[in-house]
Amino acid sequence: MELGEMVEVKLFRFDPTIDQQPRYETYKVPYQSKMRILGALRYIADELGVEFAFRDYCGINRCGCCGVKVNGVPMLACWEPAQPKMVIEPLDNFKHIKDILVDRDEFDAMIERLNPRLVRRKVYPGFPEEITHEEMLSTFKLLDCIECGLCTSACPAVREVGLEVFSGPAAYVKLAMRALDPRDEGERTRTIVDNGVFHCVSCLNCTEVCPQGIDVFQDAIEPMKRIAVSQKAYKGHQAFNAVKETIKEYGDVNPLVLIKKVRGIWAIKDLGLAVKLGLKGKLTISQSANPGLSEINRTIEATEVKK
Amino acid sequence: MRIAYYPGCEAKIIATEANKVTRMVLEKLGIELVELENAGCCGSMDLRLDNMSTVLTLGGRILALAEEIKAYKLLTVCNTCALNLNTAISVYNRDDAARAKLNEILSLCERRYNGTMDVITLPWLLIRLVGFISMRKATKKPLDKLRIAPFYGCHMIRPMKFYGFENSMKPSSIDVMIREFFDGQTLNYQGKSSCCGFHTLLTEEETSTGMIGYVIRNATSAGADCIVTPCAQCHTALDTYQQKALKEKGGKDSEIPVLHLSQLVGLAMGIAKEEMGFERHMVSPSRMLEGKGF
Repeated sequence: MELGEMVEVKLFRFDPTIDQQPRYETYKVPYQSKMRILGALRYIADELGVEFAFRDYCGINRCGCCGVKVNGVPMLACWEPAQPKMVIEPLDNFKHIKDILVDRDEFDAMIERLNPRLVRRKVYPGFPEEITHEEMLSTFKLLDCIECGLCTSACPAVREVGLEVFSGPAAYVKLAMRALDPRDEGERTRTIVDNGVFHCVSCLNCTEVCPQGIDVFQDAIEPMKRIAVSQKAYKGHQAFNAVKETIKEYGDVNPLVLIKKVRGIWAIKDLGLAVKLGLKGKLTISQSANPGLSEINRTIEATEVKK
Repeated sequence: MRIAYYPGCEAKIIATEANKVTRMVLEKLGIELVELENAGCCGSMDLRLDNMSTVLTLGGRILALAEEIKAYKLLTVCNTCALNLNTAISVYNRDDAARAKLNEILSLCERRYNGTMDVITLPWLLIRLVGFISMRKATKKPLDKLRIAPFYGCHMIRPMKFYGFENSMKPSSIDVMIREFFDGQTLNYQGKSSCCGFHTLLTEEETSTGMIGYVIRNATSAGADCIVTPCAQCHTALDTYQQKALKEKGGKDSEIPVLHLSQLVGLAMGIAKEEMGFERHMVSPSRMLEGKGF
């Protein structure tokens, strides 16, 4: 954009004490050099004299309190450049207080619920404690988390089941930060399962919106799921084993065998769907094994030995 | 141009129509498609939780198979396969030590991976390799009457570090393709880049059906005639579980047919709709297509 060009900001306005319905108001803001979204918001408040509620503090991607939804994508207002046309809304999956200001209480309580602090039972060996980079490798990047809540706001699983059932990716980043720490001695398995990490659908929205560039899914959520599956703590853990077994048996996934193994006798509940699928030719009873089966088994076995 | 073709379990076993139509369409476009018949499963998201190195090695083996037949790229019609193979590529194409380890295991089956393969999905194949001019030439029946809601699926656009082709939260490749290649109308609706919930169907079914319902309801209320997806897994979730998802939310919403991207391309290229395997869909698109003159 050029200097002095007009940025069109469509701002979400809603005051629950007065308004029945949320409304959008449009403002024109002259573009300034290196303007961020926050710059436009500040201009509306300071220069245009509009009274509206928003939160900001540091302005340099450190405090994590200025998260807003811009054109449908959650981002930090202080960090992303102003766009020629912006629809600015409050974050999803949070309670709205007023205008684009959201209530962070529930979000903070979720983090607290997971007890994300180091638990140490043995006597502290004294300072300085020797920890190598290699030992800290899995937690290193997670320490960058600024608790802005963008990942939780972008999470479709939280949208469907609510924060009460699934604490959201941000809480799991905080948990993984401690659970993967080599010094931690806490019992984490139950916490992992009870806070609903298995509602995660692996959509990678969390990874994409993180302003700190943390790979939330691969570095935090997957390792947490891995711990729970390896301890057989999750009620559906046989599903993951069953996939492996069918691959070893057929080379590919065999949906019929898979459902039988996972659901057991309760597969009968899905009989209606299975019959419909069978009639459409989508399920075959006699699935032949993949021609490369022996090779596949050899590769799987080779990696298992190394585990 | 020789392209190695890896359909993935979903298209090979459940949504076989996607497999059939993809071959048909690409053959007409003059692409030599060689299927990797002995490839096997990529490990999906489930094996990743069991042992990541197994998934990487299975991926490495598939890449080696594609390299062996001297293919230019490896095509897959399943987004999760693309993710797993890209994860393997991100390790083995750059890291010589990791590749040496992989080749140690692959030598058990007398194979070898040299780190030259690249994965591509159907929309990108059509846009990048086939290109605008050939696609316009091949378009016999413009889709101008259809109001199409594209559904991208997660693992084709995210994570951005693997693809970098388009905005991972606001994708546009299929929209542009439908508008520019086939003169169709595409709709903007919430949930376009959302998730179909396939990976929790076996373990947390209600979460998945909630997500399926979200996509279906948003597409219907935007006025779409059909949803189009490039991913076989997304198709299974959106098509097979659609009735169940709508029933859970009161059942007032109407059903909407879900097409594979390859089927849509086939329609535009003038392939008869009887050859597309529409009879295998749970929500039949036949009536909708007849109403639009196909």
